Amino acid sequence: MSRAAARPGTTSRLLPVLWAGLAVAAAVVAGVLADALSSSTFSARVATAVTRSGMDVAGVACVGLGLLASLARTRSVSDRDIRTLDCRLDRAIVGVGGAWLVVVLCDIVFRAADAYGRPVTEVGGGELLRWATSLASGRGLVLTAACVLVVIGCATARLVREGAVPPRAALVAALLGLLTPAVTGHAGTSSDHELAVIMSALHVAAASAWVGGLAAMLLFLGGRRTLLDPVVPRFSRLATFCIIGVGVTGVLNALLRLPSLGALVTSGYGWLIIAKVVLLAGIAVLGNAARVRLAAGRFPVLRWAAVEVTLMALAIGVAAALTQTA
Amino acid sequence: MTRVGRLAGRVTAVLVAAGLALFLGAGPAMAHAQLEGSDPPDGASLATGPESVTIRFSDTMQAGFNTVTVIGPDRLAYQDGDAVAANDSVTVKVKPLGPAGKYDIGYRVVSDDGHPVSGVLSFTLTQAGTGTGVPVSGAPQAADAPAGEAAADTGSGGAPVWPWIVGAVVLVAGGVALALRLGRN
Repeated sequence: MSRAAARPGTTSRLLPVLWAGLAVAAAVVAGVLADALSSSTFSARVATAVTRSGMDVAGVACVGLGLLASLARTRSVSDRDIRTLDCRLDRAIVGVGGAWLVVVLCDIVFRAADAYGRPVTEVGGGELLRWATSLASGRGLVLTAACVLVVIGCATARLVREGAVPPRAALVAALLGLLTPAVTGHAGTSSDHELAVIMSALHVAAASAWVGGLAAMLLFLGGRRTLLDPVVPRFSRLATFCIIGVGVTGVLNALLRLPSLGALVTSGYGWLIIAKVVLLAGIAVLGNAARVRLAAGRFPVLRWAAVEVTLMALAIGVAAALTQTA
Repeated sequence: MTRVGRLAGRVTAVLVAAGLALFLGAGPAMAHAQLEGSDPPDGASLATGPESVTIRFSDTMQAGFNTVTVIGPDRLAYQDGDAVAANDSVTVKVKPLGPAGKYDIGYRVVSDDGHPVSGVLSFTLTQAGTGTGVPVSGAPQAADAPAGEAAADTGSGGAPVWPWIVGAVVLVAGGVALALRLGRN
């Protein structure tokens, strides 16, 4: 079964499309079911669910690509391998970053139109500017767009001149771009302001490094022993911290939001937290199984890791819908 | 395990995940700006019309996006001028009211999270006033002026912006294509 994973043709081209599609579909369905934004028109709700989850998917992808470029920098990887991998990763970052920027622009326009209660075609330049500069969420999106530009710029510079900027630069910019909408959202306006913002930021950063890193490893290292052997242990150590980070910040966030422990079983939000914990535990078990088998050189497990990323993509989609809901 | 068995296992895993995800999605809407109260309160009976209507929310209201209308039983509009946002409330002046009956306060506001919230409150006027409303279509429907900006900036924000957005998207696509061509292969 390792043949399919080793062949970069069909599987690795279809998988990211499948993951992105699943995340977006989950966001749309969850958003509609949860009746988020009930004051907005149906089309505005669907459009913002698509753009918001698209932003998250592209952001997580850029974080994963940047992370993989950083992780691959160890003594045991040959210069030739690094150069080939860097080139592939940077090209992917430029492409995904471009898509990210387009989705951010669309999100700004859709949400401004939604705020003014008018069709997208009737929103004027002055109104768009006012929405993007006077609201916390508007400023957050503009900041995201700036971060994405930096990400694209870094990757392009590296493509034009080898080693122009360290791979860490694109990674940090992508993380910032991913964090801004999260911290300028509802967490930014809730009562325990600072703590909620820090918790949300850590939660998103840990989750994106974990999901993005795993997806990037699957797509770019699948079947390449010379790269997998040194990189997988490094990623696993990081993933362990990420899982702990996601869990701890998630629980603290929940404690900040829940009025009492009893609300855990009496409110819909409480059930949501329980379900999230179960999901997290399931992904962690799958991830550990994948790590153990990868370390033993059993590549069929790449398929299971792909299922794991699929699960994560769904969770990201739902999280995107939730940012519009709760 | 057979190939079909493995495929079935994988499909089941994805379906379970999708079910879980949908279940996760059914969370309550809890953090949007919520209506906290109004003056006059919803359902109040008044002998004389109020000079203004104030609606309070759970979040800071942003100037420039809010619309409040007061529609009388004669289906005429009685709000006077644009809504004004201050802290967590939105206020609109009200003209002298007309016939006795039920007056609807319609609102559509935007808080700092950028999401619109709309609804309708009402009060009942027990004694007819002397005022007359204006047809709803002629009443100011545009969003209120943002604080500290000229009144000329209200209303439409100029030419539609979407052609510029389409242009920006084309520019980004071109830039990405150029970057990929320029780069080493």
